[in-house]
Amino acid sequence: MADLNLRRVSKRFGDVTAVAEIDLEIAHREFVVIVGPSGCGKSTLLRVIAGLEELTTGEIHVGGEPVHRTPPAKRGIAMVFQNYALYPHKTVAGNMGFALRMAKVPGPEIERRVIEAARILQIEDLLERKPRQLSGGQRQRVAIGRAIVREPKVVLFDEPLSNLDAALRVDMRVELARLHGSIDATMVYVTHDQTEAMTMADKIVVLREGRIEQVGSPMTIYHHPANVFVAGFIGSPRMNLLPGTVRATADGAVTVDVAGGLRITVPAEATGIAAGDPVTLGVRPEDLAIGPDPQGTAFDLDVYVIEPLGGETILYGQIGGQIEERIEEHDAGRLEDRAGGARTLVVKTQGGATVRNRQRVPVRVVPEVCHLFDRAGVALPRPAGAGDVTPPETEAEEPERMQGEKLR
Amino acid sequence: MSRDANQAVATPEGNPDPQPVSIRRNPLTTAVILAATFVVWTFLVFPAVWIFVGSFKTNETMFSATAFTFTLENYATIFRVGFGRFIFNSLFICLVAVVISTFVSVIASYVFSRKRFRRKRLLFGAVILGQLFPWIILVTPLFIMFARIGLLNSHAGMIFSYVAISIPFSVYLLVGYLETVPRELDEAAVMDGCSQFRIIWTIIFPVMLPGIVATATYAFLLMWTEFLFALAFLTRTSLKTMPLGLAQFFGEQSIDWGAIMAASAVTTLPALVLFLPLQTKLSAGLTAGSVKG
Amino acid sequence: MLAPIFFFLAFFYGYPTLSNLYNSFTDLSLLGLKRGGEFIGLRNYVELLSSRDFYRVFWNTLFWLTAVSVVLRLVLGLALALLLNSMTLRRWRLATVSRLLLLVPWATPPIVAVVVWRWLLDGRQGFVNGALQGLGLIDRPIAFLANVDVVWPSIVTIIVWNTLPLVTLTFLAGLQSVPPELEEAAEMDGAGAVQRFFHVTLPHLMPTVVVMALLLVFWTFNNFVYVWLATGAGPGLFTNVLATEIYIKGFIDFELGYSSSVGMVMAALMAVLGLVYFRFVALREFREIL
Repeated sequence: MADLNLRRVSKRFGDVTAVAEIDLEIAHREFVVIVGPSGCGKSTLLRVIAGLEELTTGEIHVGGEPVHRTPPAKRGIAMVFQNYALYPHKTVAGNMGFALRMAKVPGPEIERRVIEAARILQIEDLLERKPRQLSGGQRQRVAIGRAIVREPKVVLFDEPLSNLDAALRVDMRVELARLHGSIDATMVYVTHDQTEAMTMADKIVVLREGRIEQVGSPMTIYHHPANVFVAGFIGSPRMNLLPGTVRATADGAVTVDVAGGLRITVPAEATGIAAGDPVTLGVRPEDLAIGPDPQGTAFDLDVYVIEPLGGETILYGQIGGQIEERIEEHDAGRLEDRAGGARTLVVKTQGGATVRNRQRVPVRVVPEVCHLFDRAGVALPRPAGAGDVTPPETEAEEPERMQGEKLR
Repeated sequence: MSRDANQAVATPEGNPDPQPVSIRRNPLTTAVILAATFVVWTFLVFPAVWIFVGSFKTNETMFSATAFTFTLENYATIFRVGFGRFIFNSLFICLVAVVISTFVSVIASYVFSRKRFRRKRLLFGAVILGQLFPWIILVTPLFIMFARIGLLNSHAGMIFSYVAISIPFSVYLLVGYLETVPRELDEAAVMDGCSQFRIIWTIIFPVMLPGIVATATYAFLLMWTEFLFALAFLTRTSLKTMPLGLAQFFGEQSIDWGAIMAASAVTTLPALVLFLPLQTKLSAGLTAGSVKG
Repeated sequence: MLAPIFFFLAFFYGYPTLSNLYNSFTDLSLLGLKRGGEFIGLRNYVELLSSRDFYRVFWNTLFWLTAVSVVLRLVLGLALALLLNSMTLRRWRLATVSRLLLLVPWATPPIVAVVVWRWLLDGRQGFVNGALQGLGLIDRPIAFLANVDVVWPSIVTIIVWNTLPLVTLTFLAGLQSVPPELEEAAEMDGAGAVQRFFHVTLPHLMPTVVVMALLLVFWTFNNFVYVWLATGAGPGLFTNVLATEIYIKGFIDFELGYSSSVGMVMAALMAVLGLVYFRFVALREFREIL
């Protein structure tokens, strides 16, 4: 078994804390993606796991064994580097077999394992070439081959696809997912690309300023973001975040006033929330629809940019109508980088929508898909199943989400 | 020397494709530029060419711009008076010193480039400021020190001095080259289970071999042409190096120009041969940081 | 792992510098090395600072040896780099040849450079005299390296010939690192060739120029070989500079104590410049690792 446990792992460089008290449990053969903006400490965390950086405090266990005082090569951990880090003076075979040679594995055994790994990665024809004779995608495969040939318990990936062009990246994503199915190793993958995180992960870890914001399955993270940061980070285009004010609370429902004079009652547990409190209403562009609403929960949107993407169309607009004076711009500092201020709304619709620029259109909001965040940006718990596409999985992952929240 | 291993070092040949072609081609401007080029060429090359031409001239025609009588007598002269010995001394001292200096500098530059440790700034500063040290003020105290421990008039003393003068340059250049080698490469080697020593000699050394060769060549030239320390520390004729031997031809009364030219040619030729492959790397390397910054 | 280099540095630079500092407070003589010098406090420095000869030596070093030759090399180096980078030379396929020819003086060891120029500038039969007389510019030969009116320009010529290529090639590399898009953007903005030079090229090149200037100052100010071999600090002591002064005082006049004090003045000046260099050049260049 090769489960990977981090216990209160911290890494400080002088006064700078890059990784702060991370607790993380990764199960055997799990594919975990650590995601976050640049400078969030995700690469440092990976390097601490690898042993390239010594941890400041905490413990790391692989398969139950403490490894944080073990030299990198003896941890049973392999790593795929962002720029591949292939030895330019060695052949592909030489690169892949180097770790085994260092470990004094007998020659025929090295050859067998290199050929086996090359077969899995379909680079058998390249074994005698030097790295500079390979394309970017081929180098990537060799770098992965070098990692798996050691038959490690854990493989670490440090943004491995970021040097590839867009088309190749999609191919490699599929390739990596396939690889994960075919080898017996736990995988930890660092990226800033939320698409990679959503598509490949069994479990996503959202990191920010060295701390875990949330841990959960892709669907949990998407449907139950623990806070404004996660809500804004996962999903494309980004979730609309509108400042609002609580009008009333009831059991399992919160009524909120937002820009444009809209009053909406969202299913959420009103713990620690009272009438008059500032909140943030979050609604994903893909959860909005053009068209009037019979119950009257609709914005008037003055469209100023239309991006037709073929299969879908993205509308950018200003929320029209009267702005309610009582809605104050509250202290949700996490909103500061949101473009366009409190009244901008992004809507993702079907490709066939016939909206014209400068037109005012009604945009329907379904309360069940809305998210509410309190003054500090923390999500108000939604009743189980609300807005979910695949409720069962979400429920299964619920404890981990709670764990993530506790950590903050 | 393969170029692709050191892509980060800018080479003038780097972008051969013409920059935006100017539409105007003023013939007068062209003529002025070509004339200027010709004048510059003359200034640059003429003195050096005349070393070689002069070395084959008899002393009677030495100062004549037109008369030329071919002779090998000048070369015969210098070897008769023991110039061969100077060549051997120079080669021996410089080669031994280059090997030692390169060996210790590669290790030191790896440490400076890759390790975090206390007082690094101070130590690194001390090393590279050695490049700017006025050698002349070291002559007297070193003379006294060498006299005490018996290193005056010895090859060992010269080798020690030459290793010391080339270390700051070598470390400076090698750290610069090492910065173009991705750190991930030695991290990958750590992950693969290499020891410190193995990383340096099986990973770093082959990868930066072009840089090491360039650095070693530069160190060699520095030593090959060094005059001051040789002048101060070597007084016994059988131990002298080529620059000293050359200066020796300036006698008190008469100057044997033919011999001087022959000796100069012999001194310059190896330097010229070594310089050709080295030039672009060095000129870009010396101030690379300022361009990067 | 750093022990080997610091062994060399400590015994070659560290200990001798300290020893030099101590000697500068003594009346140590080359003839009395065994006996050692008598401690005489600041007397060497007082003597030095009250000597008019010292100020002349200092002026020679600062102005003639350093300032003139450095400025000349920077200006000529920039001009030459621009010439080598010009479209005209590229069109005529002369750029590569020119760059190769630049190597010739650079590869010439300083001692050989001085030798060949001594021959060219020879006061009786030298080529330069011959050429000038042939052109009718002068009546009698000039003893370039013995005539106080022309000896400094002659020394500077030797230095410039020998080291201009390094400056030029460095500037050329700098010029060729100017992103073409920048030039193109300026051209689109309506800047002419001259304006492009002052607004795009020169600012881009400025850091290189400053670093080069600093390095040249170090290399020239401390240099012993050119003056010593070209004139032996003569005629008389007319071209005496700090480096030759140290050598003459120590090894010809045997006054090691006094010679050491001259060395310390020089070292102090270099230390100040060295810190400037370290702070503004080295720290920036190696900020990744420091």
